[in-house]
Amino acid sequence: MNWEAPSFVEIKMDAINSYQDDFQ
Amino acid sequence: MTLTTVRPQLSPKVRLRFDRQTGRHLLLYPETGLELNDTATAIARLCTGEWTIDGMVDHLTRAYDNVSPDEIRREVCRFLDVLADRGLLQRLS
Repeated sequence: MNWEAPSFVEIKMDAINSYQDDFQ
Repeated sequence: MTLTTVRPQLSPKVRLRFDRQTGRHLLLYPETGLELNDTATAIARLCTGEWTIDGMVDHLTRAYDNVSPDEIRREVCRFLDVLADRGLLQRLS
């Protein structure tokens, strides 16, 4: 595999909210 | 987070999830999240509290063949520092 600098894009929760149950 | 014997672990409020729509992994925490690239995902998956940073570097060095261990160590420490600054990591020693 080729290494690339670790990076991310910040996202805001939108109706992703299907995951909210994990945080109850 | 420069101590290489520290064993980083994602905070309890953080979940690593695969988003089938984008094909990307997400680090989710209340009200926001981070969409990770493949390398960031590889590092985040090792944040289980079982891997030291030295162990992470060894593991990733075997998985990636186009980069030196020193470069991997720098990038891993930099990424973990970013996560720690956001309160997404706890450190086990």
